[in-house]
Amino acid sequence: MQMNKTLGRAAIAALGAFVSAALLAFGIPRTATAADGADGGNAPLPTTTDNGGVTQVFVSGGNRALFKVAIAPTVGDPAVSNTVVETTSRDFMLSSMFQVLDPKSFTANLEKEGIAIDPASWRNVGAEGVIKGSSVPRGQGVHLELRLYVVSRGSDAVLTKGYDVGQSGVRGAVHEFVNDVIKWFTGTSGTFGSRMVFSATTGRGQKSVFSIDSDGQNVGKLPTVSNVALAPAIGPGGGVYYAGGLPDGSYSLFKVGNPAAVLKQATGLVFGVAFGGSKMALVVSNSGQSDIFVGAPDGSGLTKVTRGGLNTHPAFGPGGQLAYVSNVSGNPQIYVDGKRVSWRGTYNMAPVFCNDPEGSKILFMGRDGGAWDIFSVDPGGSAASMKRLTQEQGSNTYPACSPDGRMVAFFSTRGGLYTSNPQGQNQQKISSVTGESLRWEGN
Amino acid sequence: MGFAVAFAIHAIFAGPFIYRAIVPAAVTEDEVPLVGKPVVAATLLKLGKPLDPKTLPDRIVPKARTAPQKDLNASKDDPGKKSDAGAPPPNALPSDLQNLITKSDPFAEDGGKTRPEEGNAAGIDGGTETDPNKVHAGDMYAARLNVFIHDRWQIPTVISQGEANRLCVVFQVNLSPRLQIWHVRPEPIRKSGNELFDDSARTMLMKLLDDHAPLPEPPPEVAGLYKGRTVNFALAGDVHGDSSKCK
Repeated sequence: MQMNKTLGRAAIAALGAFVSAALLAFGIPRTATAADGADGGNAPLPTTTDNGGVTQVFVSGGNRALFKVAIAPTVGDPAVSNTVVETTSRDFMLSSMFQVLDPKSFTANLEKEGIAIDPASWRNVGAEGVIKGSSVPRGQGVHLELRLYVVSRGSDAVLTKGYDVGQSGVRGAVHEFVNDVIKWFTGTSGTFGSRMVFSATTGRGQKSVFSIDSDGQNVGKLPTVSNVALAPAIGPGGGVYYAGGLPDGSYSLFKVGNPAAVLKQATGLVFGVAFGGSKMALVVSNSGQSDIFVGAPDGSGLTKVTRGGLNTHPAFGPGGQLAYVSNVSGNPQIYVDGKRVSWRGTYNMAPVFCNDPEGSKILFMGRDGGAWDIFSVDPGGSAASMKRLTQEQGSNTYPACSPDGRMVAFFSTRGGLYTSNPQGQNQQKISSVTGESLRWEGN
Repeated sequence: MGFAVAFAIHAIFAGPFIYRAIVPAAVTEDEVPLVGKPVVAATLLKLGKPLDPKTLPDRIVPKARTAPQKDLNASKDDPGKKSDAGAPPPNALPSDLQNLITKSDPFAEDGGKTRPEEGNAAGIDGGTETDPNKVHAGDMYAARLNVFIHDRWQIPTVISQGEANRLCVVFQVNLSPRLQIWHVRPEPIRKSGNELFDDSARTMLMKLLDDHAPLPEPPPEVAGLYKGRTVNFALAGDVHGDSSKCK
């Protein structure tokens, strides 16, 4: 009996010893040593701290993924709800930032939720953000409330906006809300609701000026004084200016809504105009030469800034830099303030500045064999910085860039007006119109 | 008798540890004290064609993936392994299919001509540097680990690349001896300042935890720094590998 007790105590003691040894072996943090490396530390090792043996691993960059957003029908008038859902979905898709989830996948009880959300229901369908809203009649119009929820932030809306608009103003209010959503995420507002202008052939030897919303809606012909209206641009106060051909063969600068020529003192044929940085640039042709003059937006103080060759297609940058096309070096190339920036290709034209959040760029069209494509280049003009946005996708011409630099628009022989991001990805046809000399309001 | 046996067994197992604690100098002659060294991940030359400054550049088209991405072959000594990924492996898990979906570029395009990107004929798949003069030797496992994490980490496009270049978040994880993440500390030990960015990194690490996906097997000489260890992942949004934002 005593022997059994002794053996029992010995067994308990032995167990205790094993536990102690295990604690000592595994419980005490082990400090990494160079002896961990077979080469005695000659090979580069990840950084380790001196006090805990925590290995530091540095990882750079990741894949890009669209932010998944669900757009729920708004509470209230179904017609308003349709406009909200369609406009928001279209804007988000064109922005190249969001993936709009299929409403068929929604599992949330929308009726019970109302204008609020149960985050778990939306997380289950993969939504990272949810758009909800309501509309109620107010006077002759409608009061619209729109909300942005970020699922990881819980059930409180991160952005709530209210709008009092007429029935026809719902789409504009939604554009404004989408711009605010983009601002919430990025710090810079979007530019939906802005417009573009361009010229297009309307008959034999006839050209007119058109306006179109930046999402491809509301295409409209603008009234011009002549049947040949070229190279429109949006000037101070939102006025649309263009070069108009007159019966006597001359070309002058006109403003839509004003039958009289804006500039009477221009000594030559005015074939183009650009505004930016409180300045105006004019393309003036005289005696077989084409030069660019820069002055105040009212036409005062015009000074010739080009010397030699044919110079056309002026466009201002955010700092007042002037880009244009010149053949002074033999064939048409892009220049900025007198310095050539396009060094690849034999025929480049129609430059426009793009204030891309990744860095300012110049977009232009370049000829590649029998087709035209859209390219970008850094304002510094290095050959290595030249990128191609379109290729083997028909002929793509006359790029324009949104004021926030996040969207590019261009015409394509694929059948209309297209938009993409500044890298040429997410190309979307937004309208069936084609034309030339495309300009985006605010840029 | 029992106490004597217990003491003897304790002494056998615990003795060396107690002796080390009392007389540390006697056992450190063959061990080099830990010295933190900055990891210098190898910069790999990108496979492609040299830039021709006279011709127009080709468009870079993100391709829709139809098969798992090829594993990085960082070794120039074994070019035979640069084979096409082919069909998914027979032991592919459901999460692999999910990876295929989630890893696709959001703007990937189907079909079209495959054009060689700017790079160097002597480069390798997974290389990032187009200028041979900027390629440098370094920790190949760090480069491999970088690619492994990079492929699984999805930064939302609402964070512009310019903004992402300024961000870095540090998460602490615990690795099992089989290099599986078994714990992720929920709060970053260093926040980036952008909660969506931090969320994206946390989601990636939690997915690795949920999938029981092991990290790539390290070479024996550095395995001890990873297997069964606490690891701080400093995740920077800068695709060019600028670690200065993590300090």
